[in-house]
Amino acid sequence: MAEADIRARRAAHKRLTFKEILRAVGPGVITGGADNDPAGIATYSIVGATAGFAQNWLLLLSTPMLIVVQQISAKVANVTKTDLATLLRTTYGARIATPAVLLMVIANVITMGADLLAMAAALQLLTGVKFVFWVVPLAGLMAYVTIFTEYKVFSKYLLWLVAVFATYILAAFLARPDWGDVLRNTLIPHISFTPAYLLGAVALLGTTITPYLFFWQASGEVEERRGVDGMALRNIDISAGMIWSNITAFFIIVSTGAVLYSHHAEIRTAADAARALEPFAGPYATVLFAIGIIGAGLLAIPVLASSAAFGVAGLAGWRRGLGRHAQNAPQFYVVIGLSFLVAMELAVGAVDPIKALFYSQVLDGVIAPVLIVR
Amino acid sequence: MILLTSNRKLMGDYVNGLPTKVIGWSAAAAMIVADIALAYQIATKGLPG
Repeated sequence: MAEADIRARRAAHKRLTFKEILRAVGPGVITGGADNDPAGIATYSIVGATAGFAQNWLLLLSTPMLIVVQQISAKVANVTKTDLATLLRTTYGARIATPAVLLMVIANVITMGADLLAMAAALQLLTGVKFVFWVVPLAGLMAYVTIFTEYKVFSKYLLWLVAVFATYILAAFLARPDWGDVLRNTLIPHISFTPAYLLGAVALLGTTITPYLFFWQASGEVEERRGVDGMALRNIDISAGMIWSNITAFFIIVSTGAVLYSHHAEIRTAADAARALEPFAGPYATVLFAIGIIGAGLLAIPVLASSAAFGVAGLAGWRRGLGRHAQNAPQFYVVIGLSFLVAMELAVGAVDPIKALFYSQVLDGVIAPVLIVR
Repeated sequence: MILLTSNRKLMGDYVNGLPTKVIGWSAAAAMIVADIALAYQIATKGLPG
């Protein structure tokens, strides 16, 4: 461990009071909330429904990995005062930086399309109006929210909507799973070399350690000009957010495993996925699930669009930042607008929202290691 | 990012410590192994229905 790291930690341990720690927890929880976007919720639900608790150990394994990856994203941004795309370009040159950033942008736009579909499917559950009719208005609304509202303020309110997913914790207990089985599958790795199991594993890792969060974390640090002071507190905040994100994911899998896997039920629609909340919410499970998905989409889609724009703008050396007015960073906002247009096109053309959500996360699982290493 | 944050010239005193390097590389390795195994299984057995 580096000397400065040790010194900072020792100093931090002396200084930090419980009150200070509690006060520090905030932005990381929002980032953790954005990690559990609709595609993430769908992926965890599918993993629970198709493999039961067999992949719980991957969540336990991925928690410290997720924390470390997010912490180093924040650290490199705070030390160099530069976002990831710019760093990749200036350190490795455009030949390496361009494909890395483009991979992230492609994955983001596909995930945005899938998330828009999920929100549309949730609105179909609430209103009965077919999901395809919701895609275009939703894309317009989300583009407006991303470009014209202050995400920092807006996201604090959205956390209350996403808190709906905390009900998975209650649902999991009320579903009365075999907790011995849950614990065994969480602590003892179980590997099966079948395409279905591996597809679930790649999607689960891809939706947990997801590329757009690295760029979002780094860009956020630079935009807020946080710097290296108080990095110990930032690390606590990041850890809290990521642990909360994975706890939610764990209970989504336990709940869907107990409700759907044990009855050999598949997830083909959003309504099927909502059934995992029935032990807690009974007939209101669909409404609760739909509200949570809409909140998760509202929280995550601006992050996906902005991190794509931060990536492209960093690569090209354009002015960027959500704190800037559109006139001061026109290209940055054009990229946000374009990403919404392409995502909307993808969503309109998709026929199966659940498959789109799941495979977008498989793609994240393929792309993530390249960005983690570089 | 692991390579970037393990670069002392770039990070100075804030260069990655050993635990960070081990966990970071493990994350990349776990995902790469899963990706390769999936690609092999799909190539030999096809996509699950």
